[in-house]
Amino acid sequence: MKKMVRLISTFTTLVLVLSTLGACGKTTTSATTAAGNAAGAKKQIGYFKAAADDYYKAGWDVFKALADKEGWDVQEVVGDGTDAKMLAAVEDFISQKKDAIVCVQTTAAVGGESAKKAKEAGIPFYSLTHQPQVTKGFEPTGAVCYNWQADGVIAGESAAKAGAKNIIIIEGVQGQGTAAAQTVGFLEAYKTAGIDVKVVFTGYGNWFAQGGQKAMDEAIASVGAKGFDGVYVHNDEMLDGALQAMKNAGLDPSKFWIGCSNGKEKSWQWVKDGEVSMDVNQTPTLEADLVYQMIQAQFAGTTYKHYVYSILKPFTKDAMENLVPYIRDDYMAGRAADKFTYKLSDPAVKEWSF
Amino acid sequence: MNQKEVTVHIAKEKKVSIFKRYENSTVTTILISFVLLIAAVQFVIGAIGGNIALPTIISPNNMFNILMQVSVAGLLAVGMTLVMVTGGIDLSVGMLVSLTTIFMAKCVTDWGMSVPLALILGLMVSVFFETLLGFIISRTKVEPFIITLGGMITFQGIALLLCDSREVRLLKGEFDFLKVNFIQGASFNGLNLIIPPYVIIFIAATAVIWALMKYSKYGRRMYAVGSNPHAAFLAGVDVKNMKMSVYSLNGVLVFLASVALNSRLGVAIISGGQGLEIDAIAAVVIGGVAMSGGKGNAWGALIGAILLGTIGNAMSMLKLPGEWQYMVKGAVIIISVVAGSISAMFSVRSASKRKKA
Amino acid sequence: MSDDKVFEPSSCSIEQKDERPEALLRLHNVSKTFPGVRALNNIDFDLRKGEVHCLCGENGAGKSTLIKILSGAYQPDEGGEIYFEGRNVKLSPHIAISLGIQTIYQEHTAFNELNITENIFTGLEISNHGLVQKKEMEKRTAAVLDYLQSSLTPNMLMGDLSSGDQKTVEIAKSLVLDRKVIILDEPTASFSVSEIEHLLEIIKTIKQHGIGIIYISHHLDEVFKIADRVTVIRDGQKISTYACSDLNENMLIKDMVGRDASTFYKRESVPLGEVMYEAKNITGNGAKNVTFQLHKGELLGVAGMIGSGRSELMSVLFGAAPSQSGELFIKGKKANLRNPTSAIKNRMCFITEDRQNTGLFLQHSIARNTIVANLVNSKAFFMKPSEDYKTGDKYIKLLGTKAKNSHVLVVNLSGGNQQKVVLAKWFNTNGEIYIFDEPTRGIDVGAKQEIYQIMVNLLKQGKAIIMVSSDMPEVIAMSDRILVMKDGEVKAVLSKGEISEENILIHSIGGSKI
Repeated sequence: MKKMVRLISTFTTLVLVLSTLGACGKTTTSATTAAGNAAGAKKQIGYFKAAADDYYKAGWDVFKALADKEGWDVQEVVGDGTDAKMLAAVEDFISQKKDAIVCVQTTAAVGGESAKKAKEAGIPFYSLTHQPQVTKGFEPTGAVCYNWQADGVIAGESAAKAGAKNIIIIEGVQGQGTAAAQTVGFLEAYKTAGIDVKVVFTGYGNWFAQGGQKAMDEAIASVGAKGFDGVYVHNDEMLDGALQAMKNAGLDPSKFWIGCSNGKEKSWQWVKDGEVSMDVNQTPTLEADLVYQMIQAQFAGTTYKHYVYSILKPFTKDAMENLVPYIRDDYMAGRAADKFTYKLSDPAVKEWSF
Repeated sequence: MNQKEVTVHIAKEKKVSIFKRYENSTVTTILISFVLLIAAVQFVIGAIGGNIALPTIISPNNMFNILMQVSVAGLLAVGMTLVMVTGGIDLSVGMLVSLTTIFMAKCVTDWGMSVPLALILGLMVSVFFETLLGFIISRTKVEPFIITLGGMITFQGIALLLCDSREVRLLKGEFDFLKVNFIQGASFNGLNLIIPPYVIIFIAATAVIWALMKYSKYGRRMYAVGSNPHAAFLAGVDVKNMKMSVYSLNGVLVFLASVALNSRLGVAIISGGQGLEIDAIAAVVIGGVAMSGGKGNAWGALIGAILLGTIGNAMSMLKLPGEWQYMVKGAVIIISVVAGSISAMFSVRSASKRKKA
Repeated sequence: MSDDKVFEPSSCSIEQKDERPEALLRLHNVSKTFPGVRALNNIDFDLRKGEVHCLCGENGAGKSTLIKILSGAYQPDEGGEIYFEGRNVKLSPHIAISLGIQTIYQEHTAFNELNITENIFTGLEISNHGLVQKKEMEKRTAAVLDYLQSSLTPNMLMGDLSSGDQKTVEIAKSLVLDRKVIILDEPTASFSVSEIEHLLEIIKTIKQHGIGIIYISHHLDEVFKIADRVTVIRDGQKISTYACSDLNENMLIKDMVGRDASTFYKRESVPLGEVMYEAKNITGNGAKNVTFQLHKGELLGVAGMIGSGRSELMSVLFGAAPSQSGELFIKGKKANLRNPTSAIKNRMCFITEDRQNTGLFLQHSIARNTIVANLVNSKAFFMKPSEDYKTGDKYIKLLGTKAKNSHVLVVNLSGGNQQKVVLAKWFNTNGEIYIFDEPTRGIDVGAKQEIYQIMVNLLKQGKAIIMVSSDMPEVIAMSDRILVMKDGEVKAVLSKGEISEENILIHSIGGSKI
């Protein structure tokens, strides 16, 4: 038995160590310091993403590209959507004494908790894409996100102008703070214009095409082909599915007002083709760029805006110049050529406070 | 490679000198060897870069972090030990944690109850549901796997109904009392050291359950039922009620895990307990509890939980892609189970050799 | 069934010597040795076409070993030969089946979820270029069932049929698939009267097709009704072969019996005391109307053929199986034994037949195994492992168990030592009424004697023992009185003077309800 135990222990430990080191080839830096922070050493950044989501990935790609140019060493951690993983990741970043932490949070409450821990440890903490719920005195060092309500207002104005009165709204996940704000803004636009509007159906597409299609199928079945004249979908992926649902039902999208948010490359084609009336270019790439600039300023010791909204760029068939790309290489090229506004200091980048 | 010899050397030393007839020697050896090795690797890499410093994996701050990070799953692992030693299994614990956390959060926020009352009700909720599962399992011939799978899905539904599919924020920090730092003010190398009450509860619960299993009549009956239910029945053990009671006890541990989770996160959400049953079962299996029952103890589960947490932590400290930790964890689980059956095979073979002699 | 087979009437001629060229199946000089025991010793046996040849013998005489050799499951020792239709063959289960030898065991291996046709044809489906010919298979099945004058139809589900009907299907299979030899092992266990009649009719029918039938049974009345010849084996040897006209019950029993009583274990006698345990009209779990008394210092043996319901009765006596009617008394007071826990509280112990599956916790230590039954009696909630080990060591010493100490895992012990651990478990409860079920099964001779001595010591201490045993020498040597069971009933209670192999056998076999 003793021999068995020895054998098993040795073998298992070997497996553990070898596989832990097995990914060595994947890491970009070879001379990583264990305790970092010595003067002149590379800056260590911790970057946490709530889940494996395309949106977050697009932002990460740009941030990484910019960070590499700067010579920063960025550690990427992808969560599984649970708060526990996020908290653990941030705690680990703190143990390693990172020079800065970027966090795309899972929930607002725990995002705020993470910001608090970072503050206590004296590490600059930046919330990306989602706003945390903060404890006074423990706000994050910086935050970049989009003004979802304003996003909704833009869409609402477009729909009202087009004369759409019976709207199908397809949101992401019921009860998720960000999404609700979009709908609020949308309806607010109508109120401001003094026009009546009826939301004939609200569906939830879970942010993905499959869900969007299902929600749209249910909507059409519920109100009938003649029962609506406008569709507001909260993101491009779901819109993809919703358009498919409409086509399957024999409906022509170009005959309806259809609005969305995200403004990905695929949507540019839809808008150009007239299938979709309008979309709002709100890229994670720009968000990531802004947070990068914040950290850059932080390291340099210069002043900078701390809590900002990234730039919303609505577009329609007739107004589609210089849209901000999601694809990293296109983004970096456009950035280099100054094709769109990206500077943190630009007045179009509006500040807000907690 | 240098590392290999170091591994064998350390493993041998540890095994012979410290752990003689200790049931958990395998998993403890693996944990300690693993940590020391990763530390060695970190140290070497640092030295190459011209930086001599304490490897972060064994920095006090990190080690306390690991304890905090594994406490919730660890408490579930202790409960799972009880269930698995009697030959059962419980897939519902993850979702039951979600349900209980949401329930208690609702109590103090929307339903205006005091925290102590919420705690009592929360305990009743988790014990009630577990007892229900235990009742069905002990009175029917259906596999516990299936019953608790059904339980898992049902609990998810109830939880979603309670919270209306959204998170329940504990804005006033009602559960923060379990998060206070016992060693407030202690720090090492500029980082605060934290030992919150829920870590103490985790360790205490492990000790209590371990003592129950080793030093009581009840514990002996547990092992008998897990090893051979029919023989246990003929030896006068009330097999039916024993099987049910371990699920009830598990309910208490699920409650403790839920309270710990609420205090750690400050928000109750359906994804809170997601996947925790897998972590618990993995920890327990790695810690030496046989899936067939009759073997294992609570300390093994604790060490198994810590080992699982350390794997992910090590990935982070070495800045390796986190995706690898799933493969590594999976490999460890498979090895632990295979090792268990191989050593069983060995003992049967040597037994039959003896018989022939 | 379309071919008309020419059939030979069953012959009733006297013959003792073999060497008939038309023997369908013949065993010559067949022996079978296992480590430590010679199960079969130079057996000569033959089976003719269209003959029903019955095989009789006590428990452990070697019948099942013989069957296994005939079905190809075992290989005979060097020097033994098997001839099939005159050719020397080496059998394996596969070869046996392909030659046309079908064995129908006592335990069912039918596919309960499939129907009769499927059960018959599984593995041997009629197919045309890979497509199964369902209609053809059903047709043949129906024809055979019709021929056997059975009310069964090809589409009935196997699981819905009674045991009698299932056996009928097995036999029908032999006709459909053109078998040549059928071996039936105790086919009428738990059959009703009409089912037995029906089976015998079917056998008479199929033998007209030249199928040779080996029929193993201890129900002598069935044997007399159906046999063309009867062979008796005892202790692995063929004692005699009779033609049907020469049969009588006494001769058969005399042949089955016949051990030298002087070789039996001799135990010291112990004076008997008051009644400690009494059963009155106990019915349940297969037992019917069982009544007996057990005295202090007495060893009451329970004998009977396999399937007579002895172990099932013991379960009821111990409270492990419910009784439907009847009463139990312990030391004169009515006892309500709802479960083993109450039995143990009443100072009862049950050493089961199958120690590995029902008596031991193999992966645990001797100590753990020793203390488990006494948990019922211990008042304390807290216990120390060191105390367990002490208790375990105490019994190792007391019983002479060959183990280093009580930390040793039970799975590592030999059969005899494992049985001692079982004994330790029960001695630890300080029981007074012991039920032993096959106490020395699978244990070598030396250890057997030790166990007998332990049992006698118990009697000397004023305990009482009920002992189920299929080992004739054992039950005769050890018992003060013997209950002989058959079909769940106690057929006889033999007092000390009445105990003999013959007497036991007479009551345990013989007429079923025909």
